[in-house]
Amino acid sequence: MTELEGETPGHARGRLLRRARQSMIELALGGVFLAFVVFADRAGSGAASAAAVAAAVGVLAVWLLVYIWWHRSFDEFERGLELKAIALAAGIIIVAASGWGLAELVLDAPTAPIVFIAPAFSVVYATIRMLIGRAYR
Amino acid sequence: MKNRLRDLRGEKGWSQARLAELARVSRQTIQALESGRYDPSLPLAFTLAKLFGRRIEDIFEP
Repeated sequence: MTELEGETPGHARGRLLRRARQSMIELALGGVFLAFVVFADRAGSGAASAAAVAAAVGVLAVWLLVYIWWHRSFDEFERGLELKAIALAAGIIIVAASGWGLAELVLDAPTAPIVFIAPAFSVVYATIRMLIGRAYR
Repeated sequence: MKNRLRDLRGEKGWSQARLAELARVSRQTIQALESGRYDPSLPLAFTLAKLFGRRIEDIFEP
């Protein structure tokens, strides 16, 4: 663990834990969203399915609010790092989704529902954010 | 961009945490500025210049 100047090991640990907690929240939201989507898909077309869809939409709304809250709480340097992570993650997901779409079209690969893009973005974004955070700690 | 932040901060006797608090940024940002890995926005450069009682060009040089 790298300590910044004048920083105690306890503070350095706390700083890294805060960053890890953000990634954990990101992954947790992606996981909960995915769980509701899978449940809705398996529940068929009844009331349970409708409730799961509503819950999934609610998770997306919370997700958006968390992004906004994070974005507002960062200073200019941190915001730059976040935007870099978001841009990289979005680029990776777009390329991967397009590649898979091409494979579906040409190679008859199994269809991947577009609803999985949000949780996939969550995983890639959380990973990149951790890597960038380590590079600039 | 080179800067004299570390020296000026030393003259004031401030820790990175103290400067971060005064400039209303994170300590990670101060660390990135001092190590030259990040160039501040104009508003932040003005804030830092004001804190040290210097002109921007006395702190940062291309």
